[in-house]
Amino acid sequence: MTKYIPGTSPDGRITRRWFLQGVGTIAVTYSAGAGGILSLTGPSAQAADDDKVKYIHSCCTVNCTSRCHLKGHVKGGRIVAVTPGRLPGRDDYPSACLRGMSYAQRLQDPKQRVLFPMKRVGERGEGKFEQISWDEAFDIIATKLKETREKHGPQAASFWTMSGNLAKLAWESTTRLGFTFGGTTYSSEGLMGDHGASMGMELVFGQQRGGHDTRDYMNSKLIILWGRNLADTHTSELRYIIKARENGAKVVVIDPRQCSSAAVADQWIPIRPQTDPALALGMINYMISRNLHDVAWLKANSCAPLLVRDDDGQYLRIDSAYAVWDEKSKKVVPVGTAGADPAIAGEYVGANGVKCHPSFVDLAREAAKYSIKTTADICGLEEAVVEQLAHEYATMKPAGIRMGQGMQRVYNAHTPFRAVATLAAVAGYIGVPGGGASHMGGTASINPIPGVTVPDFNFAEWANTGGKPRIQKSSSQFYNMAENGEIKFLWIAVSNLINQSPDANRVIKKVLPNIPFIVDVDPFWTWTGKYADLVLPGKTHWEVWDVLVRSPWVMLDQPAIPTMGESKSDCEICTEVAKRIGLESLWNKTDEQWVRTFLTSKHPAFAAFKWDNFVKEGIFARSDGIFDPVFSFKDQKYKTPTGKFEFYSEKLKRFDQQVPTYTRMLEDPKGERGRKYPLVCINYHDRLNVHSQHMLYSALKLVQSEPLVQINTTDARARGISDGARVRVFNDRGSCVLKAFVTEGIVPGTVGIANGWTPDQYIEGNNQNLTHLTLNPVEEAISQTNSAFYDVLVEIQNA
Amino acid sequence: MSTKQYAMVIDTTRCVGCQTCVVGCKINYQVPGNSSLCRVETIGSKQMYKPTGTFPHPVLAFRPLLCNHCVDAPCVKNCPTGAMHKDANGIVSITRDVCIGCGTCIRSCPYGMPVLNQEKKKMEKCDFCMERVEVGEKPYCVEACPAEARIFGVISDPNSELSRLVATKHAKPLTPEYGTRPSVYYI
Repeated sequence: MTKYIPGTSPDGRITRRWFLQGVGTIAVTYSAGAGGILSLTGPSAQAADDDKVKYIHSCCTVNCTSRCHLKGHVKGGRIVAVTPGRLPGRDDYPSACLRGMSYAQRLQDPKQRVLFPMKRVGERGEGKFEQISWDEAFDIIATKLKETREKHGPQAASFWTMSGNLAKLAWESTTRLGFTFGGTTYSSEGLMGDHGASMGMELVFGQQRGGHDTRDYMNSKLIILWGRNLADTHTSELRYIIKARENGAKVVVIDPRQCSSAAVADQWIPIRPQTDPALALGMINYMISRNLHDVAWLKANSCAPLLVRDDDGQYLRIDSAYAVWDEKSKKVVPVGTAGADPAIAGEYVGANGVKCHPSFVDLAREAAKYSIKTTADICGLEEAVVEQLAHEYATMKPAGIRMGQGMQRVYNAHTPFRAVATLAAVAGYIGVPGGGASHMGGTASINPIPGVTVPDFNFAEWANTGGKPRIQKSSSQFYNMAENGEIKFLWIAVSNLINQSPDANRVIKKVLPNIPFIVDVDPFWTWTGKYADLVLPGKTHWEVWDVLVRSPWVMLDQPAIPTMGESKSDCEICTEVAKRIGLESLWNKTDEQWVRTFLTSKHPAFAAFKWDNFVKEGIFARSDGIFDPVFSFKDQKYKTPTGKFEFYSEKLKRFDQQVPTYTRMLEDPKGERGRKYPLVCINYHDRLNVHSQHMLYSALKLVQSEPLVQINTTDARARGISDGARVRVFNDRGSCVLKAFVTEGIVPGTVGIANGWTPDQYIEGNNQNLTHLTLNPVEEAISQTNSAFYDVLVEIQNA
Repeated sequence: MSTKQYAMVIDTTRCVGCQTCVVGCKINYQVPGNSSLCRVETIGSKQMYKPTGTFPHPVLAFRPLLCNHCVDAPCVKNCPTGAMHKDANGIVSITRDVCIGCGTCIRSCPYGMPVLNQEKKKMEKCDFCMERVEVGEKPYCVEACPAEARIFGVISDPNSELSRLVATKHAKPLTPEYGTRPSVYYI
């Protein structure tokens, strides 16, 4: 893949020119005598006599949710093998997937790495760079930052991160530099497309995460993986789904694709993309109309009995208290009145003649639009399948749902999680063993020790921004801000921004050209790097001192191999720049000193903590940790405005979305646009990679060597497309060319391209040429728009 | 003839086809090129990841494959140099110094499992991670499998955990009619 052409410069010095085809074409000129080049081919001199295997641990810090503890087998200065690391207190849990193991291969491949600070010498995107010294790089950045501050104010400098490395220092350094400088940072969840889940969770549960430990499904009779391909995207949990199934639970997968998880499921329900809220509402209607809903649970723990005013749709209040209709006293009383039996149906009149009704009436009315037939029609399912699912969900008690972000990368992204969680509430499955509508399946896993007020980690110094406000804007506004000329300086770290954001043509042609200076820090050459003015060599989690908190554990990253080229950690780079812009007092530690500082708390959970053991084992288990399966909302307490599970949102009344609703997708195959572009293109997450990480190494090529577009046999036949044919996928925003994978395992009318493949791996283009960023007023009102990566229409033809 | 026989049970009902076993083995043994010492197939399908049957009821299932460490291993019988041998623990392994890379073992193996290391011009095959097993560790593929679909043990002892598993789950070797008496059993 990568050509390496040594050459000679005019002055006779040896130069090394690398043509990196890993990201299209990048030609980089490295000067001679660069110390680090010797370490390119592997062990440094000191490592050569070190041929005994030693074990160095690390935490896999890519953003797949699992964050596995890894055991690196290091020999002669190289990681030669990676196996699962031990998790104290959980002997059942060690995990390392094909991605985590092969990552070690990629990071030790100098041809993949950015080895030295590189300055662009061609046009942006052309891929021509030459090596400069770190001092020169730092001086350029410092000068640009000072200029930006003087001419436009510090906020004109933007510091952009995504989720490329979740360890504390790597993930936060660039943002912290932004804070301490007074610059602009971003809440990246919107643009990256995970925020619909958070919004949906927040609306109903009052918190963005929560759910059941996967082991808790041993208590379930039915498990629904809803838009969650857990086998590939939360691999460490797979074994517990399998055990639960072997324990007698039925496992159902709801997904437009017959994903890997479907191979260990009892049933695949091939739902049409974007129609998940309709299925949830149809199931709710089935339950309510057959009296299978859990009235007692709804009365006690949800907003169902809370009265809503007919006139303005806001909750009725008695003074500041929410109100219910008491069936016993036949009057409106404050919620929680002792002995009251609140109604969840009917029409009532409160004080001053205000007409009102329990909020459950609105939910039931909305759900009533979704008969089995209507639901089946919308979702593209057989009526019998919908009916069986609804019936089994209501009667196989308890049933647990694991939700996945796959269903929320749509317009109105807040709706899918909201609707599915509401379904679980109507069944009375929230906060009960074996139930839930879980996001991630993670939950707090420490027991607070009574009376302890000292913080568990000593983050105070790191959190100090020198009195500067923490400016964090919605990432959904990032494109507009750049196009409006508000961004004069951009620092990108832990993010392959172009590859993982919608509408690449807009980014390349409109967003980035309006930003005068761009620096990109990354261990690897990326599509984004090609458009930067400076590309700085970052480090990976096998090369740095860093720490990751995954309660009840704390995990350590430490250098396992010699430095690749002249790479530096994100924190080291920020520290050097900080020194040059007058922020040295806030950036006065080495990475190792920061990590040691974080772990100096006097919290009793860390009484047994010893640094030397931490380095040796790479992991520490807190003494207050919970290692048994836990689940959220056991206490039926919710941080919503009403303090209840809140399917009725008064703030969404103005959008006529006070209860979960189903609206047709923005790019509707049955609408006008669908006549030209009839196929929905989803951008699923696959076994091979997390976002654009892990791509390109030889071991993984064995599994799949290039991107493929999955297309149903029927759709392929109608277009004369055969398996393996080169096809062009296109719409009016752009196109990409890749090979077709013709299969029965995808819903007709839908095509799927796995997320993360980069342009050089395509025959031409990239799937992000097809996607779009369309701001959604409801999502902006709640928080920020979530990229609707799966709300995309395309057409396909042989290329 | 060995008296001890290491063996593996693979529960295909647990396999999601992720190929962590394949990739883990390949990386940890630094097998070059597109070769690997084990592989995964999609059951009933010629093409990996392509289900059988038709929409909306296609069937997707996987089967990992590796050296069967046969009791009557044709690769051992036919190896012209004696490089391929059956060890006292029942593992079929190669003495690489002796191997001439002639490929007779590939042609002999009805399961097609040995591979040629193009760089070393020697045959490579799964040896059940003998070095690891001898110090009480599990083979890489067993340790790495996120589905716990692979169970490693000793089948020569009828009371071993593995022997009991084979009996209770009615695990069967793949294509026993080849007559090589494989030591890998499938559920």
